[in-house]
Amino acid sequence: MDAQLKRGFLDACVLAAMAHGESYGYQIIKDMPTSLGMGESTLYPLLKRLETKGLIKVRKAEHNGRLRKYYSLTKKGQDALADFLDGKQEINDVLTYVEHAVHAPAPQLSDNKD
Amino acid sequence: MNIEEYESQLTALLQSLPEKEREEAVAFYLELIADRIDEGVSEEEAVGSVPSPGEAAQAIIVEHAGKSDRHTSDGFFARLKRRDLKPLEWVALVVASPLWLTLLLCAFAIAVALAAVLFTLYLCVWVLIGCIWIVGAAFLLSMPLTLLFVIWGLQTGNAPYLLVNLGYSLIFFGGGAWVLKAALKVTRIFLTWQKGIAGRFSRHHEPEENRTGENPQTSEGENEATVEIATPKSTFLRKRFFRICWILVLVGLACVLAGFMASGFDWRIFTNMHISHGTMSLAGVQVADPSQLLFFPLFLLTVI
Repeated sequence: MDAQLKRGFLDACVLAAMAHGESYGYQIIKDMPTSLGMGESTLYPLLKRLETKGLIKVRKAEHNGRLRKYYSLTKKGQDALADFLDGKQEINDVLTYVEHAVHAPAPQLSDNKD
Repeated sequence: MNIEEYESQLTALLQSLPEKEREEAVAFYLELIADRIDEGVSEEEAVGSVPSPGEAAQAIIVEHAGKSDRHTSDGFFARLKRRDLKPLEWVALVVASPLWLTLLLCAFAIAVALAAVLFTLYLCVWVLIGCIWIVGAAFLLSMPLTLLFVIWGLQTGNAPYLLVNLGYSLIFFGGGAWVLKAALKVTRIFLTWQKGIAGRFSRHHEPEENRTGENPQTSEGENEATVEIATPKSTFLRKRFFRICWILVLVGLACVLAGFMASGFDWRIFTNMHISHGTMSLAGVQVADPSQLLFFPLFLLTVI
């Protein structure tokens, strides 16, 4: 998948991992669809980016005698996720168009010059 | 590799980052390792299954570099706001200060002058509106006086004078009501306009929460106003009143004309009164005993 396109999808997937409440790093990695092939090294920068954008918020809480970071959606993050889903039809349309354009028989070009 | 080795390697690779960011990033990867160990994986296995310090550091540094790139590619003024200029830009800013400080001062002076002009214009409009109110009020207040002259006309048997002053009082009453109505309308229009301008300004500066909170209030106020105006009975009465005022003005004009004709087109009919050397004349006709006139002493006191 194109890197730019993948980045958008990854953002949405990470946000979706927090749709039902807060989550933590390792849990998010386990929740990610394998088809995206998200390397664990990408998660940290991605979470930082989402946090900077104000889409997620972070809190620290004790777990097994150590501190663990929990991530959850902000209002803005929920809106961004809803926006992403709103674009579903658009994405489908684009995919259908590209698919048809590629698989359709080549048009017969008439040569009118002569 | 154990956890300590992993930590020290990653920390070393992230030396270029600010301390806080470095610690945060390292803690994130240590947490991933600890979570795996909690699941029952051995320490070595856990360390082995997370990204190597090299991979992790590369991803973090690339993202960090991207962020600082975005920052430095901001425009000059955006960076000036953040006090985030390059050294040379600071030097240029100081060296060029005589120029831009003067320009800034000029711009400020122009802004002040414009504000003064606008404020003067604003005051002028209010003064004009005030004038309309004063004219209307003067019309209405003059009416009792002209009515007094009507009585004097009756007392002296001066029919043309009586007619002209009756005309005046009708015109003053009907016309005054219309002028006051116009004054009220102009005041309302100007107030609405002023509110609109003020609203537009405050909307630019206020955060969104206030904006939504403000709107229902104003629309409510408008509704109240329309409800008040739309009461059928009061509208009907008001319309009828102002129609009568028109008729009064027309009748008044007719009276003045009739008085003028009755005087034999004597222009002195409009001069009202003349007092000199103890004699007094009303519209050219001498009054034998002014002290007999209603409220005459009071009138003299007020006039003199």
